[in-house]
Amino acid sequence: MSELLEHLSKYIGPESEPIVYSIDKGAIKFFADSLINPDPLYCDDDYARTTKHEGIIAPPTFYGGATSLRNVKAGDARTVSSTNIPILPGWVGMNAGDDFHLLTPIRPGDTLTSHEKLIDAYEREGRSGHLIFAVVEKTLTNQHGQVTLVRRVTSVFRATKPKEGHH
Amino acid sequence: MEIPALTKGPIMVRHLAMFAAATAEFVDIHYDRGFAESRGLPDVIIQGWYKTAIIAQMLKDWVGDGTAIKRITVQYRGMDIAGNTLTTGGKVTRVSQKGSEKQVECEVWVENQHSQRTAIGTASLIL
Repeated sequence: MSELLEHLSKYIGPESEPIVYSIDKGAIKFFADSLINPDPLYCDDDYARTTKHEGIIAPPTFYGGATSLRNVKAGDARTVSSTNIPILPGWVGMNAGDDFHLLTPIRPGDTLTSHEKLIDAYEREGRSGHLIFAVVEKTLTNQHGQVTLVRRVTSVFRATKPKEGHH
Repeated sequence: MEIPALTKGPIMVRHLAMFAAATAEFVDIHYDRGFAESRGLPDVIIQGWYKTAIIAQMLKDWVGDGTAIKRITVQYRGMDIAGNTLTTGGKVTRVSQKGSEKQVECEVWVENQHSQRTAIGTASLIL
């Protein structure tokens, strides 16, 4: 087992401090704008009222932007991953994948609480060498106690310099 | 059955900076060219989540209801840099009837203007 995998494995399980988001129409519209998505469902009250949703809802995968944050500052690294697990020197990480479970629509006025934990860490031999994967699960619950979304983010880590013994 | 493709782009640094703010995920390699280059990257990198979000838009545009999408699972297989044009695609792999609901399973992907498939995955919808 590599040093990084052993290190990450110690963090599997416990939940970190929750992150709280207050969702408003501006944050929903801005997410759609960043995606160059002109869909009126995300910005036009009059149109949205005529749909089955009877009002604006958020685009799939959205759960809050920088202005939605309530208990941490925008730019705080915990908004990317509240697990805040230190990565050992000599390793670099990238986002390797996302798995979104979309359960309940998110609407303006919702307060979402994100609970997050590291659920898995494992190693694989890739084409570019030895890789370590870590899977973080975020569970977003609204003010009614409904789980709105579960996001599992997989990160991949590789050594910045080849380690002895790996070719 | 093919899902109608959706093309976005070119996706510029400003879109990536907006997306960082729109998701509250500020990671410098996505909007700071000097920082990205200092890390050995060719330019700023389009967020993986951006690709998943445009796959979701394709599916919503196709079925007319984003809440029909129950799950999207995407692997990021290659980097896309600012200035790239991305086209999402997909095809239906299985349809099953459960009572009055139809469950639809799809393969989905994102290709750039060089025909590189930089994200691949699956989606589940209930209609």
